[in-house]
Amino acid sequence: MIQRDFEASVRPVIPAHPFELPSRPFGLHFARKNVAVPQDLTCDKGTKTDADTTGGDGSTPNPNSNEVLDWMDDD
Amino acid sequence: MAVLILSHEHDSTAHRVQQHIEHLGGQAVLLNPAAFPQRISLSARVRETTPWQGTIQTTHGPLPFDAITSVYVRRPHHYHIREGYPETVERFLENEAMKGFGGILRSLSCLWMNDLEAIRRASFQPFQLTLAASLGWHLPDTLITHDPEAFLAFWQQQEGRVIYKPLHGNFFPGGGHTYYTIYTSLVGEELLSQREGIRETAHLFQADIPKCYEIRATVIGETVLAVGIDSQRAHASRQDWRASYQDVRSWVEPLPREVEQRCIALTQALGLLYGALDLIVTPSGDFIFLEINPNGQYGWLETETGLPFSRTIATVLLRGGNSA
Repeated sequence: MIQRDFEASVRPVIPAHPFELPSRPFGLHFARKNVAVPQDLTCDKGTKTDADTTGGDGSTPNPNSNEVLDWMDDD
Repeated sequence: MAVLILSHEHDSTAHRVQQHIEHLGGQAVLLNPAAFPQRISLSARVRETTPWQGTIQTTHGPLPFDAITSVYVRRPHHYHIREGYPETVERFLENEAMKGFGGILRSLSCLWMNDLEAIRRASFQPFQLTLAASLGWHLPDTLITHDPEAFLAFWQQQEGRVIYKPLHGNFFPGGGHTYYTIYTSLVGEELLSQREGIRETAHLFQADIPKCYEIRATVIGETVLAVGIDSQRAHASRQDWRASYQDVRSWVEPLPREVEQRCIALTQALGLLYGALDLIVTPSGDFIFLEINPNGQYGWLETETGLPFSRTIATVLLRGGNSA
C-alpha cells in the first residue's frame, strides 16, 4: 500500500512527496524522481544508493556517493 | 607488489586507475567483495609471531596478502549470498562474510585510500563543519534541529534565504527501479506550513550564500585538482549543480595557495588521502566551505577538464606505505 502511494504520489518535475503521513518528514518535500537512472543502481542491494558513473555513459553522475562502507558495515 | 582496488566490475573510474597503475609499471587487482564466496575464495591464518598469511584466489589468479601494498576503496558492493536461504540465514551468512573476509582485508597494514574509519568519521557533516571552522574556513550559518520553531526563527533571521540538505546521502529508494534524489533546495515560504514534519528527525538548514560560482576541489595526497563550476547560469543548477548537469560548465580553476593549503589541511585532519571539497566563491571573492566527500566522484570532471585525477591517484597508490 505504501509502495502504491509512493509511486502514485510522485511526479517527475514538480515537488514530490513519497509518503502520505499525518506528519511528513520535512526533508522529503525536496525529493525528486530520478530521470536518468544510473546503470548500476539496480545491480544489487549494495549499490542502491551508488550512482556510480562518470557521466560519460549517459547516466547521472553522483559526485557525493558516500555509500562505500556497505560491504563492511552491519549498522 | 600489487594495488588492490575494491570496487564492482563495471566501475569505469576504477578501470581508469587500474590502467594508469599498469601503465606506470605496477600491478592492480580489481576485486569486488560481493564475489565472496561465490567467485573468489580466501584462506588465511594468523599466529602469535606473524600477521595474517594467506592468498585471495581471484578470477584473475592468486593474490597473496603480503603482495598488497595499497588498497583503493572505490565502490565495493555488499556480499552476495547464494539465493534460496531464509532471510535470517542470509543475514547470518552475510555478516560472517563481512567480519571474516572484510576483517582480514581490514587488517592489511598498508596504504589505504581511504582508511575506512576515516571515511566513516568524515561522513558526519557536523564534524566536518567543526573541523573546517577550526582550520579557518568560512562556513554558512548552519542549524541542525528537529524543532519546527527553532527552524522558523532561523528562517526569519535569514529573511527566508535558507536551504535544506540531507545529512546522510541524497538518494532515496522508492522501490523497484524507482529512485529519488534530495538535492540542496531553497526552503520557500509555501513550505513553512509543513514545518511540523521537522519533528520527525534531524534536519540541516543553512543560510543561502550568494554565489558567483562553485568549486569542486579534489585533494589526492598533497595534490589539489580544482574545477570551477558555473552553477549560477541556469535556474535549475543554482542551489545544487547536481540537479542539472546539462546546464553547468566546468573549467580548471587555479586556487590561491592559501586556499589550496586549507583543502589539504582539512583532508589530512580527517585522516583521508582523498577528499572532494565543495566550495562557494561569493561575489566578493570569499571561499566558503560547504562539505567534503571522502569518496566523491571525479570521472566526469576528468573527461571535461583533462585534469589527471586517475593518474594522480595511481601515483599515490603506487607509492604504498602505511595510512596510519
